[in-house]
Amino acid sequence: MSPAAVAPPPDFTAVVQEYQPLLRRVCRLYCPDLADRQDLFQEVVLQLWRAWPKYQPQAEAKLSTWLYRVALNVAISSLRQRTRRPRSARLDDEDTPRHLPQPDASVTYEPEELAALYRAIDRLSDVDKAFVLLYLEERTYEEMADILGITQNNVRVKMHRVQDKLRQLLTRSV
Amino acid sequence: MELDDLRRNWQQAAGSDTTAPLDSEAVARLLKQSSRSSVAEMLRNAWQELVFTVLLLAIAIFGWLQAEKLETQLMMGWWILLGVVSIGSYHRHLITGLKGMKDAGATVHDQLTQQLQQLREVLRQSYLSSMWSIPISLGVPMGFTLVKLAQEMTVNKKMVLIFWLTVVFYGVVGYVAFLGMRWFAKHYLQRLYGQHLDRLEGLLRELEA
Repeated sequence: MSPAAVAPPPDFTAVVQEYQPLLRRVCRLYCPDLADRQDLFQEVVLQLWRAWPKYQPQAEAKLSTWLYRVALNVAISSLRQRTRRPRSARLDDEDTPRHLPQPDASVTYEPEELAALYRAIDRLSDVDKAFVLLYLEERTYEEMADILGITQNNVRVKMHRVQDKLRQLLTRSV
Repeated sequence: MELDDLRRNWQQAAGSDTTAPLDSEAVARLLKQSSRSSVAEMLRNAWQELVFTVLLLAIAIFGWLQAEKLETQLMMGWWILLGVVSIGSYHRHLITGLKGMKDAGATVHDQLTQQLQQLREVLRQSYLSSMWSIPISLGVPMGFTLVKLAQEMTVNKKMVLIFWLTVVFYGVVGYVAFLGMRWFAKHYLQRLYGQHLDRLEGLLRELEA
């Protein structure tokens, strides 16, 4: 199916419209830079469209679960973004600036707490970011396991580690 | 501030999202853009490679048509035939493999695993086909030359030495070409796909840890 040749059906358009905020939140978490974020959003929509024929609404998977999967898969495996984005920092990396400039400060206003959260998240690895996103989005462990493809126990263990890491990063940035 | 408070802030910010809604035209416009994913990049590389090799084959076919000697025609004909079969098979595997890496609806773990397996298979095929190009390129002219020398040996015994010198010559050239191609294939594949492969392996390790 060529995306350029076929007009999207109304149900697909409706899904993109309805879940646009969710998709944008994923993009925001992975891309501090506005141009990168727009590119990522476009890529996510494109991959959603390509995966759309395979989506089975009657299957057990909820639509939001499927959307998180596609968006995270695109965000995590995107090579282009990575080359434009600063590398993730290690917790003990003292050379990394603790106060990165607030992304898009002139475009969107973010309260300081939220901006600090984004700065801390930006220093996590792409896999850890996925855990943080699902935590912030209040997904259950069951859903997280379904999105990430690992066991609930593994999710629980990793989630604790990621939360600790995030807490340390937030404490350091204060 | 506790993580739960930050989560509440995040939820509030998400609730007051002021992003302009997308209309159907805007969605259609988004879909008209070409993909910039790493898989799409690799597919573009594969198509560029294919165009380049087809051009080389076209030049070879032109040379074959221009050849006057029957022996040269036969040799080039074999070379072109083997080239078409091996290049066609390689690109079919490469492009099918890369196209199979597009299932974005799988779980993150499955998608990473699938991409990694298919990328490894693509690399294996690419490496094998590069290495097979040596016996194909040298084997055909060597075969023709040795058959001709063997025929001449029946009337001129001095040709025995030349026959064995030719065997040694092709052996040495083949070995040097093998070493050169191995070095080139490894570096070329590493440059094209290595970064993506390392990244996928790292992501999967981290997810499974």
